[in-house]
Amino acid sequence: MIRKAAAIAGIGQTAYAKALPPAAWELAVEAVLAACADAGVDVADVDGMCRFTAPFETVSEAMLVRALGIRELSFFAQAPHGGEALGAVVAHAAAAVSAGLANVVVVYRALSQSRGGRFGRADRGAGESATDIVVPEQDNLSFAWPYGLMSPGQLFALWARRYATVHGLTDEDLTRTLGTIAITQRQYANSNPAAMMRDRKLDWETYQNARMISEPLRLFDLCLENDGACAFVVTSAERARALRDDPVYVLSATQTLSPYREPMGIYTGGEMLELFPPAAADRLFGQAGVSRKDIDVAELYDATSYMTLRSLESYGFAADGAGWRYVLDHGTGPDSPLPVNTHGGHLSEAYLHGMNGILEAVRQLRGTACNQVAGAEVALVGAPAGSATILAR
Amino acid sequence: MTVVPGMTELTAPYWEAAREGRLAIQECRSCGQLSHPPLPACPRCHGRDLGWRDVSGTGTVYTYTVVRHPTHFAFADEIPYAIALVELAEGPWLITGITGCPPDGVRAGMPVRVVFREVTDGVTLPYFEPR
Repeated sequence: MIRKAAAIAGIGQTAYAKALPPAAWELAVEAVLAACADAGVDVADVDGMCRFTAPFETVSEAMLVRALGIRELSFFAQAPHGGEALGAVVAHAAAAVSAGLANVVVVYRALSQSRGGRFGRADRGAGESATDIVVPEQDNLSFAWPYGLMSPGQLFALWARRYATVHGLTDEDLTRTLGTIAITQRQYANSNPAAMMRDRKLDWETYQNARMISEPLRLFDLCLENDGACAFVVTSAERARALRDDPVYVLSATQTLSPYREPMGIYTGGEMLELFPPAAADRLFGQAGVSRKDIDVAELYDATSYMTLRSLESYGFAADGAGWRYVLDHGTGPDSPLPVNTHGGHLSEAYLHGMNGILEAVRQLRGTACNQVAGAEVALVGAPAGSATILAR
Repeated sequence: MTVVPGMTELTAPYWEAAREGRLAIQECRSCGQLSHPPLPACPRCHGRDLGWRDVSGTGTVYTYTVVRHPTHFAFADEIPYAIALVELAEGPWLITGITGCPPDGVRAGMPVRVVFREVTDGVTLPYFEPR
């Protein structure tokens, strides 16, 4: 059991912006140093690292060990599947600490999208070429890309349309639901100084009139693309208590993989809306020893507004198919039963592959968040396909 | 510029059939399981005697999206275009494009049939149109 064996003792981040002068390596260095300073640990004492696999994470642990003058890592691990590494990196770090494989584990994520690819920039791409693009067969992409299914936003549009079809939503129902999520998250961001969208209001008219990207998803249903880095420090609960008086305990962290449920997979064969077995969510709560009602705040991985909606159902805060009415009736704002994405999320704070959601959960549990949920004691951070963590103060 | 599928030993028969105007799905000769995209073993009986079966080419639209903003310049001239997940009459699902009707005319549950579009010399993609 990893319950309360490990804790997050420090968090760090860079500025978030469309384009930052430093490359990802330098951003990672800045975030890791900030996290170690926040934890009160000497970066030279870091002996473990967890990260997302390449090509998502371009900064290797070897690059950081070199740049930070770390003596030796005794544990390092990588988790695959993009945003679905979110719960995994916490699980790996907590397991390593509780098994004695490492004492101070840094988890980090650095993005420099301004230097690499962005999904939304086709019209400003590398220019026309006479050469055909041959899609190497990997994870079934050679069956999708030739039809122009090339971005997560398009895939999530397929899911959102399926959701509306199965649960009988009109286009207006779906628009109102997704718009409520997007606008609420923007309002959170408007009072978050670190959010890229802090000064940009979003009202209904603007939301509804924004251009369709991939129907039924509009511009503001899709996440930001940006540069930035996040890091946090995981250590034993005992050491974390010695370092600071407000450690954030890892109650549980899960990974899940079943046939055709690999993230971005589409040939689910069963119901495509079910992105992971419900048993995985039960395991998350069971290992944490808490119920849905105990969750005070949730940071749900939102590459699109639809994923916030569906994750409310997948993690059991609303029944399957009832999430949209829940959102319309109660919302996800500060006065709702479950405030969601209180930093603004990927839609309005910045896109950090879910890692900024972990940092926000830590701030909420420390009582230092910009949009503080009064008395927050337990937080859930989760990705759409079931990789998640439950944290507590 | 065209985006074309790279082929492996496992996937080449699918694309070779398409070039000949056939929609062929991998079949387990032991238990009849159909798998798409193809697998190195039957996930049901673990049989390794796998072949290809020509299917009817009819199905229904399981879900779809109309892309109005290209995410790759290779598709900039195609906008708007409809991508669909089609459930074949025989069961398997295919990612495909819908042709033969305006993108706005695509609906979930719409009956469709396969058509073949030669996109480059040597590469033909199965598309679907309303039936």
